[in-house]
This record gives sequence, structure tokens and C-alpha cells, in this order.
Amino acid sequence: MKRIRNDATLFALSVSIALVLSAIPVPGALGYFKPFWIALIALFWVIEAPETLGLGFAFVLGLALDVLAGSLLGEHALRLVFIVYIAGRFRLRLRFYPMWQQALFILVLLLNDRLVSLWIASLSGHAFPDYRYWLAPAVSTLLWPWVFLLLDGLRHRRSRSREA
Amino acid sequence: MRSARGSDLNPLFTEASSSVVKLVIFSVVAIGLMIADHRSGYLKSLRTVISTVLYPMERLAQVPRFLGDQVALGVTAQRALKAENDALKEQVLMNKAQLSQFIALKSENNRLRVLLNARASLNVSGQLAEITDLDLDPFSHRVVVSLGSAAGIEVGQVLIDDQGIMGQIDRVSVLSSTAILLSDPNAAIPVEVVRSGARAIAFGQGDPESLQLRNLRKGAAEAGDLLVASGLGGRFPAGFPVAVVKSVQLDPESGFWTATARPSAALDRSLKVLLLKSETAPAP
Repeated sequence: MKRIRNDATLFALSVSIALVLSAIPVPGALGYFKPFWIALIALFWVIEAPETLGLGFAFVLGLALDVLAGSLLGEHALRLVFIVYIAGRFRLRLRFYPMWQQALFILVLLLNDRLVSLWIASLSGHAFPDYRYWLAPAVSTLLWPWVFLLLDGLRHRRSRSREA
Repeated sequence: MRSARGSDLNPLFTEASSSVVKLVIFSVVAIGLMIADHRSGYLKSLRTVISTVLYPMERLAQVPRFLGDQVALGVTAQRALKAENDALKEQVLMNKAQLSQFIALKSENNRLRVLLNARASLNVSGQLAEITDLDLDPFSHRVVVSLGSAAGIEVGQVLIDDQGIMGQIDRVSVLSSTAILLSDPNAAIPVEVVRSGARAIAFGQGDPESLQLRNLRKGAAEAGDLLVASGLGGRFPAGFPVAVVKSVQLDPESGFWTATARPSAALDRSLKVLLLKSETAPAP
């Protein structure tokens, strides 16, 4: 019970911070390196505590991102729903992967996400982007171990200190 | 035994299938939203609601830039200087813009053409804004501008840099707004060739370095010609430079000419822009 309440606080906090991070303006070409913060946070929660984050919440988060980014309403929603669904499917296996294997899985997941986004873009008649378009998933993947260790550490420390 | 195994398997099965159902439902809703958003404007209110909820976060996200600005400014005296400097920069930008407008008008007058009604308004006023460029959507040529409805920005305001027209505001939220650039595949701007007086429409191509003009008469445009906004339709103020013609080709099928032009404004490089107040005369 306590564990669940702790999770809820940390969950809300991490999601809010991720939203703020995604809204921070990045000048010019640096934007290509911008990690998909919300996806990283959502991945952590869906892998470690799937009861905190369902497809519905992923959808709502995606809508929020769409508004922040000025993209088509529903684009990020669809992408996040896919990410959370796929990660949820492989959750049990992912939990026992070593970190590098987990990160690799996330790279593949985020590259797939780029394909989904490319597909959406092609439907709305946009031009094909250049190679820099594929940089962001790599940046996100490099960040994954840190995000994971940070959240995991916070999560366990909090629950331990409450029990004591 | 058998029933026990059945009850073991059943929950697993229903859980899996219910999440597939959810996936399908959410995907369909998301795609529906995208189509509705793409085709029409009636999701504006939903966008506004969400953006109001997100207001505190958007505000927080401005903090790093704000802190950066503060640190860079240092002491208060410097801040005063900075304010003055900003005002002067805005003035310079305004002057340059007006000057380029006058050059275009002069050659217009030289040809003793009757000016259009839309050309009457020459009073340009605007607000200086920064392009913050969230760039989460690298396909569409859109930029995020640092002013929103809190600063009185409205949909339809025209965005210029010191060289010419860049685009037009198409969505406004509280603290920022999104502008569609001339190079967006969905953008089009009515232009006039200064030399010949021919009117045409310049279409975005998804390339910040080129616009296209179709169905031109022979000789209507040549390489090097300056294109200015014609003001027809009342969306863009007349006389501002839009692009310079790079090349002209004959389209053998239609017998008309197609021109490619390079936008005068630095669409992909300008960081400081001017948002013109929308006080240009409406379409005649």
C-alpha cells in the first residue's frame, strides 16, 4: 500500500519533470539531439511498475506533448501508445535483461518510433528528413541507463526509508 | 484439474486481449484526432484547454533561458543598457524592413502602375520575438516563437526578419505560438514580380532555399527578379520582399513557365524576428 503511494508521488514528479524538459526551448540544430524524455520516463514505469502507467495515460501524455510541440494533435499520443504497448508486452523479459541489452531494446523501440513518426509525416504530405532525424533515438538510448538507475534508486530508497 | 488449469490460463488470455483492444481503440482515436486536426480547425478549443493545463510547465521550461539571460546581463545598469539595445535593434529591424519595402515601391512607381488598394497601409508596427524552435516535428516547416496570446499575438500575424517575409502565425498558445514558414509544403503566398508586375503565387516546397511559382506567362519572370508580396487576399502586407527568382523553366505540357525562387528571409537561420501587427487592409 505504502509502496503504491510512494510510487504515485515519484511517478507524478518524474512525469512532470519530463514534460518540463520536453518544453525547454532548444535552439536550431541542437533540437535534433533532443531526447524523447517522456518516452524514457514512460518506459521506466511500464517496465518496473506497470500498474502506474496504462495505455490511457500514455495517450493523455502524448496529447500534452502534441500541444507543447505544436505537432498534429494525436501524433505523439499514437507514438507513446505504441511504445508503451510494445514495452508492456516484453516487460517480463526486459526486467531480467542486463542493462546494455535493455538499452539496445530501447534503441530499437525508439527507432521504430521514428518510423511511426515518419509514416505519420508521409500521410500528412511532408518531405523526407535528413540523417539528423535519426540522432535523437541514439541520444535517448545513451541516457536510458542513467534515467533507469536514478529512478530505480529513488524508488527503492524512498520505500526503504518509509518502512524503517 | 482441468478446470484449475483453465482458470490459470483464462486471466492471462483476457488480460492480453483486453490490452490489444485498448491499443486498437487508442490508435484509432489518435489517428482520428490527427485527421481532424489536419483537415480542419475545430480542435482548437481542445488544444487551448490542454495548453492552459500545461501553462505552469511551459512557464517552468522558460526558467533556464530566463536564468541564462539574467546571468548574461549581470548588474542592473547593464540591464538598462540591454533594454535600450533591444529597443534599438527592434528599430533597426523595423527600418530595414520598411526600407526594403520602399525600394520595392519605388520601382513600382517608376512603372507608373496603379497601386492596389491593399498597398495603402504602410504603417508597420510589430513586436520583436525570438524563435525558440522546439523542433520535435522536423517535417513541417514550422517554428515556435517566444510570444503567445499573453503578449497579444493573434493567428494570422506575419513574421518577418530583416530581409523579408518568413511566414505567418497559425497557432497561438499562452506563452508561445507556432508559425508556418513560406517553405512549408502547405504554404502559399501571393506575390508580384517587381520588374514585370506579373502576379503569381509562390508555393512552399519543403526546402528552406526554394519556393515555386507555376503557370507564368513567357517573360513574366527572369532569374534575378525580386518578388514582393502583392497583398492580394489581405493576408500578407503588400510590398515586403519575399524571394528572388533563381531559375525559370518552360513546362512543355502546359506551355506555361515555372520559376524557382530563393526566399529573401533566412528561413532556417533567423533567430530574432518581428511579428507584424495585423492592421493591413483586408482583401478588397
